[in-house]
Amino acid sequence: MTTAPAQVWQIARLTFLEAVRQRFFNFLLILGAALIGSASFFHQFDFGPQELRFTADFGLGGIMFFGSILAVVATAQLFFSEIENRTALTLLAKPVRRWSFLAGKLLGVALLLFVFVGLLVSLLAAYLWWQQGQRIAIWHAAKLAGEVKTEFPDLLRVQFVGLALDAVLLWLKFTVLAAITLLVASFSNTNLYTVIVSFFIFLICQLQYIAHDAWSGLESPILRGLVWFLSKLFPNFQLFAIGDQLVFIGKVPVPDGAVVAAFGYGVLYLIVFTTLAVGSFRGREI
Amino acid sequence: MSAPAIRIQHLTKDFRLGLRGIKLRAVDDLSFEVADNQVVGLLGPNGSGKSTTMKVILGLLEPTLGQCEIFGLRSDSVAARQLVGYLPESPYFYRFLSGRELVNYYAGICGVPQAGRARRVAEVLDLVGLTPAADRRVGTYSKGMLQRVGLAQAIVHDPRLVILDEPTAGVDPLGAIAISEIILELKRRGKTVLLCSHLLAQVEDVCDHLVMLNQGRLVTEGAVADLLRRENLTNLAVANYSPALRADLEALLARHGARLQHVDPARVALDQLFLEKVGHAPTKDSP
Amino acid sequence: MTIDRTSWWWRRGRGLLILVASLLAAGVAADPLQNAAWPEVRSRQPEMNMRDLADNVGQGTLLGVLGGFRSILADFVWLQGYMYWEQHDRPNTEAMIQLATTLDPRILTFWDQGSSMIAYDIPGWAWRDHAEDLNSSDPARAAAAAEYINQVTLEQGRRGLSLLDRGLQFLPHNFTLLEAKARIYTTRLKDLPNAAENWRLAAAAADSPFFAARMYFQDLLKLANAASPDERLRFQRKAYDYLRQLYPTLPADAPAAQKGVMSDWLRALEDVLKIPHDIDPKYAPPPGWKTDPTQEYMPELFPEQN
Repeated sequence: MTTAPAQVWQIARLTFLEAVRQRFFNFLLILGAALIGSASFFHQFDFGPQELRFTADFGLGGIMFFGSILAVVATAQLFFSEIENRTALTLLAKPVRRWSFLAGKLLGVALLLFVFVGLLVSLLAAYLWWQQGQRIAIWHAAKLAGEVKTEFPDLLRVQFVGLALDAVLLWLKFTVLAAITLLVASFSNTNLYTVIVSFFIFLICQLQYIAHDAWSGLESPILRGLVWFLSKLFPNFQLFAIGDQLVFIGKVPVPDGAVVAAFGYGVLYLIVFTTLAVGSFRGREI
Repeated sequence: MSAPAIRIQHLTKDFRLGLRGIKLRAVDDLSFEVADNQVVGLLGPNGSGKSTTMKVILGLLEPTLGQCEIFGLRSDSVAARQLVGYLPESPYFYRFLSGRELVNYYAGICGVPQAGRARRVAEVLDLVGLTPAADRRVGTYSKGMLQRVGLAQAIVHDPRLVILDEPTAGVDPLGAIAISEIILELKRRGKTVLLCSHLLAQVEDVCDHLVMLNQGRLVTEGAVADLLRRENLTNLAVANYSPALRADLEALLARHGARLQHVDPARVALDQLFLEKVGHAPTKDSP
Repeated sequence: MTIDRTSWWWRRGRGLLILVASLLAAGVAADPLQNAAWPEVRSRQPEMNMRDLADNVGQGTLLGVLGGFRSILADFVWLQGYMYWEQHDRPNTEAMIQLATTLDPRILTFWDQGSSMIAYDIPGWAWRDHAEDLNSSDPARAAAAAEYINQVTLEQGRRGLSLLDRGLQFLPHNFTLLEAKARIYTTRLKDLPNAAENWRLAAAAADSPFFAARMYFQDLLKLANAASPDERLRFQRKAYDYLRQLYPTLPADAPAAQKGVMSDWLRALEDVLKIPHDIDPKYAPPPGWKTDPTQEYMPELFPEQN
């Protein structure tokens, strides 16, 4: 009998192969690349030395937007296609554990998201590299003319290692979102319901930080308890924004411990949502 | 004595429908056994509980009451599923894979060792007659080819029990005969086959044993020969039959206390006629 | 009462309870990790730190709902604003500027260029629209047009300042915004004291160019000129003290620092204030500096000397 990890990998591999053939993935990839490319259009608006930050924000914002859509829609689509086509029936009639099936699906989606984020961030990094070179040259000329006192400020330079770390955090966030979608799919009957509920949960997770920051300031104990409860129920997706702070050095650098904590936070919720999805799927009648 | 291939004892399965929880009893106190190395037909009209019973055997559904064992192992265990190969009804597979890749994928899932996997895949593809089309994408396969590749993925890991759900549905007579021959070959190789089909002629031809369900209950079961035998009646096929011969036969039979029940012209089976008219024996390449 | 454990309600209710309990436990377990990282995120996102709760929830909801999308939306809104600007559509231009800065308050250019459009371009449109009236042979008509344009200039100047003040809440001590404020006070509102104060703040900002300090210094001298004799001395002394603390920090080899000119001003102020010339080497003129004997930049600043 083959080992469970080997099965998980095989299912993941096939899921990935199926996913990259889908037009939706390629469409989002092209759209993301076009959006990053369109940042050059804003060149003419002369944002000054801030241009790099603008381009990075714009590009990362686009990756965030399309990546979130991909995480939810691809996960739901890849899960329900197996259920509706009954390939899940064929697979689960084999000596495959249900958790292996789900883990394989999630891993396949994670690979897809890794490729998506990797390609787009690489494109963004290449563009930023070129743009930064231009900006440094302009600054250097201004320094020679005596218009500025210092070298091109480090505060305005792109930190490419930081950008890579931000990409990993983005990917982790998308994978957590995929795990949430898988949890919803494990008890949902339709693809559409899964997508809608998952996006709704995504929105709540984006706003969770308001409850997290607000509960201690409330006077009514009932309201306090309720808001505290809500703040603990969902993960804080804004936490992953710590990656954005790594792309440019701030006046106060981000402590390494905070970045590691953000990673740990993402991994913890990935495990939690995957475990809940497995538990829910065990009772599902195929 | 070795454990039977399938042992079902007092199997009951209820489904809850909707918020009000209306109970639908799909299988009601079903018990039967399938011995090793038999070809067993599971018959019944639509809604009789055949699919539910099969899903319980495959570990895809949990019984409400009762139990199911495969060669002495609980049917919902992974070890039991290692011994089972399954061809679903109207199989759908990953269209972008070739036949060989598909069977190879399932072989890997089922733990066929990497070392001999390619050889094993080639073997089963040859057995089901798909070698010429093995490297084409499954998306280009005809209905019959899909059934064949489905059969291949079901047996690639050399299971002891093979469950086939409507294996010849939508397949032409040549293809159906080819699949029947594969089933008989599997039996010759020591496998147990559970066949679920609405094509009663085919079931009659290949099966040793029958289990018949209706409204979730067992109606009858037994060896095909025993179930289909008509008591106190014997068929004779006579060549050069004439009215004079009939009179002599009736007199002879009367002397022995027998009676000529009815006389019908002998008929050739429709599939036999089809084969004669088509003009060639079924080949491995035929869909 | 017996519980039907196979009922939909029991099964779903039990499942929901397990789900909620698990997520709650996860939330509590993740708290240490969140508390380690969240303050770092929060402190670096100015829109999460608004003092006013309503603003906080408003900005926070936008940030939360839109996340990284907001920067794209803000950029498209900004482009939209550009289109309205080309059409000289004041209400929509201002509306798009306000919306873009609300959506993404991190972008300096939105505040800077936005305030410039509000404070300078819009009055310019008014001037063009009323050019005929301004040049009219009817004095009353010309006066009315001039008064109208003056009111528009003042009003737009104030609106530009209001935008910049809002920007400084998100980007505190930002040189570009403080410079913009100083220029609006100077050119639009003719408010020298506030202009001087903003030049002072701009000069103190990180990476401010050399000229910012000079602008503050010059404004102090203009204030001195405009003041009563008693107040004039106070402003001149203030300008001198400022120049004394600034002068040693100026590099001698950077033309933009104009150290030589600054040394002349130092000497001139010492003369006006009747202070002996400081012989401390750190206040010496840069090597090779020759004072321009005409000192043409001086008359405006030292009217009593000339």
